[in-house]
Order: sequence, then C-alpha cells, then structure tokens
Amino acid sequence: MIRGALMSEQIYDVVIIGGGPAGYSSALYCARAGLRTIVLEHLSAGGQMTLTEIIENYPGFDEGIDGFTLGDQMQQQAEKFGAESELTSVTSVELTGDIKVVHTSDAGDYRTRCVVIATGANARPLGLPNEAALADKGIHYCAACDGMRFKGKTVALVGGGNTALEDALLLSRLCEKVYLIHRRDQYRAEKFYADAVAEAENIEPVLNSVVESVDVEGGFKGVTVKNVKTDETRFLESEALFVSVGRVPNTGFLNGAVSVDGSGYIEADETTRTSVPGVFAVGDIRTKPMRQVVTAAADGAVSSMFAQQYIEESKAKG
Amino acid sequence: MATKATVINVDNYQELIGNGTPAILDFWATWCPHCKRIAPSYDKVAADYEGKLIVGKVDTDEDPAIAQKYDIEYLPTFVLIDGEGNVVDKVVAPANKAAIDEFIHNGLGL
Repeated sequence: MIRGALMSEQIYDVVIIGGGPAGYSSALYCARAGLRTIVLEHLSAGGQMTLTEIIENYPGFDEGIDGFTLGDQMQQQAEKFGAESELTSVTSVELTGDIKVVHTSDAGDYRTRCVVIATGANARPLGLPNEAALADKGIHYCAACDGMRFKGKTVALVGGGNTALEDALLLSRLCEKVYLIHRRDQYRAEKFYADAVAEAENIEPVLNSVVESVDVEGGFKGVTVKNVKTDETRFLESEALFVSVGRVPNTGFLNGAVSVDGSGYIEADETTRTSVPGVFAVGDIRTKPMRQVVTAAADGAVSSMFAQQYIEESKAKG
Repeated sequence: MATKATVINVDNYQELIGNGTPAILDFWATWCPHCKRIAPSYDKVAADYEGKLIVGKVDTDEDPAIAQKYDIEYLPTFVLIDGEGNVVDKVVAPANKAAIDEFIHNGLGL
C-alpha cells in the first residue's frame, strides 16, 4: 500500500524514525510546536522498554508502569496534539539537501525538512536458540532495570567488559549470589572494576567459560556453562541470566549518512544535532553517558527546539 | 477499520484450519511482551493477506489444547499451515512484519 506521503508529494516538517520514548517525546514537542510530524515505527510504540515488565525509575509512576503501557500512552499523547504514526520499517534515507527522503518497506517514501533518528540500540544477544522468547522471562539485558526483581536470589551474568562488571557489582548489592561468566581468563574491563569484583564476596567468577544453554523446564532453573579449555560443563543454579555482552545501535538503514563514533553510535551533543544539518539523533542511538527512558525522553524534547530553529533558519534563507 | 487477525479457539478451529485455505497462527499470551509488540504488525499481515490466508491468533491461556496440538514451547510462536492442515513451518518471535512476510513467502510462496 502506498501512503499519501508519496501520492501527494506532501512535505512533513519532521519525520521521526523510531517510536520509543525518545521518538514520541520528540513527536509530542514537535506537534505542540505546530510542526507537521510523523513517527515511523516498525513494531509498536515504546521501543525497547516494551520488553520491560515494570519500569520503576521513570518519574511520576510511584507504583511503576509496564513498558508497553507507557509506550502506548506516549503515542496517544503525541497523537492528541496532531502527531501521526505509521507502522512500517525504514529501509534507507536520503539526507542531503533541504528536503530529505525517508524510504520505507511498505508505506512509500516520506519527504521532510527534518529527520529525527530515534532507532535506539538493542542489547547484543548471546545467540541461544530460545533467547528471544525468554527475554524478560529469565534472560535479562539490563541489570539496573531488572535487578531489583531478583533481590536476595542467585543470578548469573555473562560478560567481561566495564558494563558487565558494573552490572555484576550492582547485582551483588541486591542478590545473594552472582555467578560472573566470562569466556576468557581475564576481564576486558578496567582494573578498577576487576578489583571491585574481586573484593565482592558474593560474586563467583566463572572464567574461561561460555553459556551452553539455559534450563527453563517449569520456570528458570539455571545456566549450563562449558569451560573452553577443559570442555567440562557445569550447571549454575540461578533464577535469571543477565546478558551484558555489548549493545548494537540500530543504524543499518543510514548507510553511513551521518557520523558515528567507534561503537557505531551517532555523534551528537546535547543539542541532538548530528553531522548533517536538519538531522537529529535522540535517545539510545546518540553518544551519551547514560541510556535510560528518562534521558531518551529528554533528548526528544530538546530535538524539537533545534528542529524548529533549523526550519526557521532554512525558511529565512529562502 | 482494517481487517485484524482472527481469534482462533476451540469453537472455530475445526471450521477454519485445514479446510482448503492455508493459515498462519500466532500463539500468544496477554503477559508476553514480545507477543504484544508484534501484534500491530500481525494485524497488518491480516489486512495484506485477506482472502488468501487465514491469519489467526490463539491465546494459549484461553485455548491450551490448540497450543499443545502444535507443541508450542515459546511465545510468540507463529505456525504456518497448508490447506490440508499440515504444519509447513514454525518461527519464534519474528523481528517485525517484514520477517513475517518472508516466513509466509518462504513457506507458502504467497
């Protein structure tokens, strides 16, 4: 089906790619500023947070709120002020020139003055065959988000970088015991983190080991690891497996159109402006020190201000 | 209102599945975040394949017998069924609508 965007050659002020908290906050502020705005989302509103059963660190919800409901409410709120939404996958973009073009898989092309990239970053999966189905049901990717659910329990965590060890330390403060699984005999993390892990009495390092499988028969039972040097397997009884083996920013459709850092995140400062005029990066996709729902939402608001400024300056130039 | 996925339960299963028209069934549950996330895309699949494919969804808590019949272990699982009622293929948690389209195309050539 070809949507009206292509049929009538209409031009949006802002096309937002991605309907998570950053995308819909941008949509809310852009729509309220009178900009013609559409959000292109390939699944459902909320992005990654829809996989979180309960979000307890987004201000204003003292009982917590499930990620799916929060995403849905963010969409409804933005649409109340005139933002549009389309369920489609963005396949490629043309970002040069005053009018930019966003190509989609099945909803035609969108012409726009500004593009806000809000496609987020996904946790890198381990590659277990049943992993996607177990996400948030035994396999977790955010210790800060989900660790509290395992207070006083035993959990396993796989990874060896700074974030992994930081997550292990966080979990060690909440949980009775943490198995820290790493495939090498030394962590990749900085010495500071490695020393802190060594001092934590309830973290048991499981080095030279990889996760073979998880036992979920009748509920999450534990993790089977294999020692890569001896080929011996060991079962670690635990209530969850936290995976902290890096993140993958969703930038494939950009095909190098904007500058990214060494890890693939879009280079943009607090203004959310990228290397391309009229293109903004918000939320987890942007270079930033902390990736949370609240910081994503803040980016969205900021982007609207600089999108308005860009449009006004473009018009002034004629 | 666009066509949405058809709710399949013990009352309409016999009538709709294996009676000449191929089908895809989404085994889901209300408590499954992946299931909820893919639901809008699946409704779009229902609209796109209207008349060519029965696009159904089975609530595994409401109708566990149907889930058992297809040995469903993980949610969401999508099962492709030919017009005679034979299972053609299964997929767990497809990434988006494009992945479901590809799954249907590879299995049934639609």
